[in-house]
Amino acid sequence: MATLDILLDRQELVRILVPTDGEPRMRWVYGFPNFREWLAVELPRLVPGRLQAADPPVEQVDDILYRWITGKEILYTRQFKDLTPMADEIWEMKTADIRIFGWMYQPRKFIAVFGDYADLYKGKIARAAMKRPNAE
Amino acid sequence: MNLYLYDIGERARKASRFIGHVRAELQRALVAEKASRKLSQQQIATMIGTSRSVINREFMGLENLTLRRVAELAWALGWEIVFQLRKPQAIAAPTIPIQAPQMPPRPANLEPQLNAPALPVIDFKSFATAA
Repeated sequence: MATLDILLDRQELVRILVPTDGEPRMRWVYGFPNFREWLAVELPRLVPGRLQAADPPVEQVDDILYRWITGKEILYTRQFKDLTPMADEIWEMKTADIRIFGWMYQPRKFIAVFGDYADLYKGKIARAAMKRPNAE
Repeated sequence: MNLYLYDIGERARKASRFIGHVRAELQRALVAEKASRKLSQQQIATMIGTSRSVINREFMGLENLTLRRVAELAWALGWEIVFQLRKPQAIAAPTIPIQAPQMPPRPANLEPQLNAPALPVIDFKSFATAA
């Protein structure tokens, strides 16, 4: 049984889905239980941050997850970065107000560890909050 | 399988994804024009008559764009807009199954009830500018 399936069965990871209204799912998102909790409980309470984005954080996250899952172009240019590789194999999924940190388990499989306001993490790698799962 | 469906509601979802689609198209066009002819946000700002910081916020998705502004940005980029509303498609595109359950054989008279409402189409196309 694949490592990911083992972790899903143990509920150490949860598969994150968004409604795609019939569009095929081309990529996957998995999350730690804490990340799921953040999506369900904390994120809906967040208001636009320092940049005063027009869209609330809940919609920003829905849009980036939808674009990732349905295989839309994920920008990585000098000007626009939707998903950024960082040190220690950490990847950063970005919206105007939110940063979601995680790992790229395989090319189309992102494992989200946690998310929060971008202003709290800009210029920093939140290494202290990242813990790898103990897969056997 | 352990699943969580992140659903912000259909109304918010439709609106935010359309806005996200327009923003992604604008960004894509800007990236293309910067690569091909070094078009900068400052140049766009000058053409439209505003500041670079305003243009940057608009491309970053921090501002609510009016239809007029979308048209102005497309004009400044040298791209045209193709906009279309259409009825939802009758049959959904096939999705990668989350997990295929064991199902009994379907009765012969069971009709599919699939429904895949589609987003209005907005595409930005580059048109060749006369030399």
